[in-house]
Amino acid sequence: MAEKIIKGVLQFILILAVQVLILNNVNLFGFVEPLLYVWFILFMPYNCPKWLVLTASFLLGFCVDVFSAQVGFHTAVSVFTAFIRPVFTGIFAPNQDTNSENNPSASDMGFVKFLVYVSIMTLIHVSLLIIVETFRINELGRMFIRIGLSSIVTVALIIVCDAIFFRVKRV
Amino acid sequence: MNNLIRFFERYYYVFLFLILEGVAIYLISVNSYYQGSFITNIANNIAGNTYRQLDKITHYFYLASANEELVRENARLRAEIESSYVKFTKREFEVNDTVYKQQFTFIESKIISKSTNRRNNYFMLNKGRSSGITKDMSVIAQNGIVGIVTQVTDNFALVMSVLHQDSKIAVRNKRTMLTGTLSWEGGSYTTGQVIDMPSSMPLKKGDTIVTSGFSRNLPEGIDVGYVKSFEKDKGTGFYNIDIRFSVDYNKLEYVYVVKNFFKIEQDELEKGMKDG
Repeated sequence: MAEKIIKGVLQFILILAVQVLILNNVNLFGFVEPLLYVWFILFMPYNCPKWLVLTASFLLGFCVDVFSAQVGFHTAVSVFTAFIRPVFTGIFAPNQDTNSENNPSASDMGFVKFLVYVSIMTLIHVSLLIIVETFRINELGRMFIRIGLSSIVTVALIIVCDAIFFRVKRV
Repeated sequence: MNNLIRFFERYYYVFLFLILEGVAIYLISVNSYYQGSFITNIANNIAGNTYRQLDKITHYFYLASANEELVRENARLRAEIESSYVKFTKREFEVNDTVYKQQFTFIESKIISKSTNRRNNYFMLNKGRSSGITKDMSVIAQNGIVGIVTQVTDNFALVMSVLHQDSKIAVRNKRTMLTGTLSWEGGSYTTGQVIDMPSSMPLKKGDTIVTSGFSRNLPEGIDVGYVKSFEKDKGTGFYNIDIRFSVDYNKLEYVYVVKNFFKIEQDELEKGMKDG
């Protein structure tokens, strides 16, 4: 159990560091925000208690906020994403026991299901974040471009990282 | 009683969600109404110290271009000092120190963190209150404007970039002297928008847009950008202009914070006007 917690904390710190120190400074086409930290909310194990998922997402969002000069936005959206997570893990991994120690990943769900799961969750997360930040009707066109590009880059990043860190187990 | 406990057991998840979401929304509202609140102060200190460490590593990559810019600025300043001018008139009636009074001074500072790809972008500077920086001071680079200081801690300052939806800066066309307002509608960080510029005098592509000096923390005549394209609003008769910023905000590293010696005096005057 203690091993699990230490592993989780390390993953938290690593993802936060990559997000804040590297990805926040990446500039692609002037529109794109790669939000890799969403991955952490998505891959917490199935048996992780719900309150822990919520609290961890809250902390992660808050830490990302601290480094982006706007306190609250990432926090609010992360908590929401964590809240709706069980609905989607239920849909895309219905056979999973809630006591399973596995992480939701491509090797666990199957690639297509995982891709859809990540895409939906990321789209919800990114859309909410950008809508809350922008909050203007007359910029709808630019806002959709922002949401689209950021989501695509984020999903691609998550899929790649997933392939590297949760390699497919050949039976 | 048992039922109540069972009820909470069942729905604790929803309650926890509501509580955490409430805290987050509270943070958003506090942050936007009281800039420089307790939480943002702590947050800025943590972020500032981390970014300062990171900057120690990454600033080596930009040394070449930074040097080049400094050399160019040196050359320009050298051209402006008195010894570079030939005196054509001898004005003996001029008494030193009373004719010209210095209004602005500049605190040089280094950017330790920045963003250009969000809707609302900020810079963080490596100097703060202890170097004389206060809220609302404007920040310029050697060839253009950068933003306005929104928060200061002892050692760091947070600058609201021109690339922010709340950024509004009074500008004018250098050639025709007509004034307008600079804003940024999102999109590319190289392109800004000027609105409310009267069309009473024709505009040309490539016209230089400079600060108008109406904003009391910003000296007059600082470059903002160059007209890229424009159209006349049929309804209002004002121009809507796209400009190319004179500064590459993504490469920016050294900036100057503008200190206005007359600010208190000007503030008092304005306060008197409001009261009276």
